[in-house]
Amino acid sequence: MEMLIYYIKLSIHNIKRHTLFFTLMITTLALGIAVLLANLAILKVMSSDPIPQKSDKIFSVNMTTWPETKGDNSEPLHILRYRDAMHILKSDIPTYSLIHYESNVYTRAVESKSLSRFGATTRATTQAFFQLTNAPFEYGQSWENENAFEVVIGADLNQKLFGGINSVGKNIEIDNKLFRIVGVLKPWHLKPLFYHASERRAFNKTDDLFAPIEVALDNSWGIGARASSTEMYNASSETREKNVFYLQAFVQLDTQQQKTEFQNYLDSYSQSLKDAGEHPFDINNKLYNVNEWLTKNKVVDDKILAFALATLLFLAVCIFNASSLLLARYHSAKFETGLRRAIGASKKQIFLQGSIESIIIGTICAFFSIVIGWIFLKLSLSLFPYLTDIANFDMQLMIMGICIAIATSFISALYPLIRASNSNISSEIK
Amino acid sequence: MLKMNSISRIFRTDTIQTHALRDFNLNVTEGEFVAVTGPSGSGKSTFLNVAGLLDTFDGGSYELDGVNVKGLSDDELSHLRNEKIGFIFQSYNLIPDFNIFDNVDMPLRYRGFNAKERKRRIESALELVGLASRQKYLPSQLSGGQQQRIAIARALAGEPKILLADEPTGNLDSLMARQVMELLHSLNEQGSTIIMVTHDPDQARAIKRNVQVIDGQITDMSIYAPLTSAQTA
Repeated sequence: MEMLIYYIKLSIHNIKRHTLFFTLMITTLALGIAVLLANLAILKVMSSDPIPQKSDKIFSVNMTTWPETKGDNSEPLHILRYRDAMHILKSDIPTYSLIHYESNVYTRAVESKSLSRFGATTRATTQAFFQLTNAPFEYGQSWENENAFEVVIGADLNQKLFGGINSVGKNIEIDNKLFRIVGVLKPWHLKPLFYHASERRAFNKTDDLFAPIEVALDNSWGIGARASSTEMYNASSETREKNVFYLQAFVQLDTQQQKTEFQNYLDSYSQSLKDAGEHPFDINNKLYNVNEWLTKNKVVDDKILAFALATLLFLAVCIFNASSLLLARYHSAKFETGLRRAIGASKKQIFLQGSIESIIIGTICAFFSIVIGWIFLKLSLSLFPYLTDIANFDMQLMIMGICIAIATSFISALYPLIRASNSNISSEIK
Repeated sequence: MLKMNSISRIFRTDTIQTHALRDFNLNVTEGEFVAVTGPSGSGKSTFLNVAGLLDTFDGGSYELDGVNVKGLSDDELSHLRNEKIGFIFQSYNLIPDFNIFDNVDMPLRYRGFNAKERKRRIESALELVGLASRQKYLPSQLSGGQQQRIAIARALAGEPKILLADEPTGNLDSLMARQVMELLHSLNEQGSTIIMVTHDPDQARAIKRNVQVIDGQITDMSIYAPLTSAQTA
C-alpha cells in the first residue's frame, strides 16, 4: 500500500514537472476518445433494445399477400390489408396481437376557452397495443371497446391540453367529434420506436394520441405512413374492403410452440389466398423479433457505422502519437530509470510505477474526453437531428469513457514501459 | 564478502568480440578498502558493473556475501543490489528536482521500510556525512562535494554490506575530493567494506589494498601502508 502511494506521488510529481508534455499527450488521447464517445452515444441509442424484457417474444408480422405479378414482389410485406390484419387478430395463438397505422389529427380540450387546436401524432390501434408494448400509464387505462369514442393520450399532449393533471374522464374534440379520455401515459421515450421502425421513423417521439382503429377508420383519419394499393380509394374508411396495404401487425409469442403454430397459421392463410388465385408467390411469411426487425430496417445508420470505424482509426492514430511522445519521454528519463534500477528497483517495479502513471493520466484524460465528447456530440447531432432529444452522455457511457481513457493511456504507455524497464542499467548511469 | 573466480565478460558485435574481463579473480573480505586502478578501457568499470550486479557475466562464478549470483532472477538481483550494495557514482546521480531527503529515501522505499524507519535511517546517514541540516535543499543548492556526500548518504542509508564507488572524486576539485576521501576512509574505519575505482594514483596509494586491472585481468595486487591524512593533503 505504501509503495502504491509512493508511485502515485511520483506520478503526480512527474506530471507536474513535465506539464507541457503531459498536456500534449492528454490532449492527443482526449481528442481521440472524445470523438469515439460522441459516436458511441449515437450508436448506443440506435442499437439499444427498446424492450429488453421481451424483445425476443414480440414479432413483426410480414406476409406474402401482394396480388400484383409485375416486378419481384415475392418478399413478404410488413404492411398488410385490413382483412389480412383482421385474420391475425382473429387468432388466439399469440398472447397479444396488435395492428396499427399512423395518423395525424388536430385536437382541443372541450372545456378549453380557446378554440386553437394542437396537432397530435396519432396511433390508430387495438387495445392490446398497451399490453404488448408495456406502455406506462400515469392515469386510467386502455379502452375496452374497439368501437368506443375513447382515447389514451401521451404525457406531452396531456400537458398541453390539461396542464398535466389527471384528465381521465375529460373530453377532447377531434374533427368536431367528442372523445373521452380513458388513459394518460407517463412520459414514454421508446428508443427506437420498434413498432414503427420502418420509413426511418424509429427515432420519432412516441405518439401523442392513441385511438381505437375501428373508430379511426370510421372517421376516415388519414394514413400518415407508407401505404401501397392496387386500387383507388378516397379515404381510409374505404380501405377495409380494398387492396390497400398500410397496417402493421405485431404479435407476442411467448413460447416456441406459439411461434410455430402462428407461423403455420399465417402460412395456411397465405396458401389459401394463393389457392384462390389472389397471389402467385411461394409462401414466404416471416416473423421478425424486435431486434431482427430493427436490424432489417437498418435502424443503425450506415453513416454512423462508417463514422464509428473512422473514429476507431483516429483513436488508433492518437494512441500511436501518444506512445511516440511517451517513448521520447522515457528516453529522456532513462537516467532516472537506470538509477532506480541500480539502487534496487526491479523491472516489475519500474513497470508498475509507469503503469500507475498511465492510469493517472488516463483518469485525467477521461475527464477531458467526456467534456470534449459532449461538445462533439452536440455538434454531431446537427447531422442527425432526429436523435437530438435522446442521444446523450448517460452514466453508462461516462463509465465506458473512463475505462476507454485508462485503457488507451495504458496501451500508449505499454511499449515505452517495456523498453524502459528492460533498459541496460550500466549504460544509463555513469 | 566478494568472491570472483575466473569471471569473464565478453561484448559482442556482428564482427568483433571484446573481452572486457577475462579470468578475473578477486576476493574481498569484510572491512577491506580496495582501490581498483588501471588505464582507460582496461575493464575497471565493467568489473564494477558486474560486482554491483548492474551487468551480467559470461563465465566464472561470483559470490556476494555468500550468495551465488549466477542464474538469479531480476527480482532477486534487484533485491540483492538494494540490500547488500551501496553505489557511489562519479556524477553523484541525484535526482535534481527531489530534495535531499527524498533522494536518500529512494533505495529505502524499494526495501519496503515503513516511514518511521526510513526517517531514522535518512537522518542517521545525513548525520554521518555532516549534512543533516540540509534535508529540504535541492541538489542544485549544494556544492559538488556536498552532493557527493549526499550520494554517499544515499548509499549508506540501506546499511549495505559493501560500497562500490566509481571515481567518486572525479568531478570534484582537490579540496572537496579530499573531504570525500576522508569520509570514505572514516566509513572504512567504522567497518564498511569499500571497493573504489580511481584514476588517481595518490588516492590509490592512500588505500591499503590496490588492484590494478589491465586488459580485463588483474595484473597487480599490492598492499600499501596507507598514507596518513597529512601526507595525502
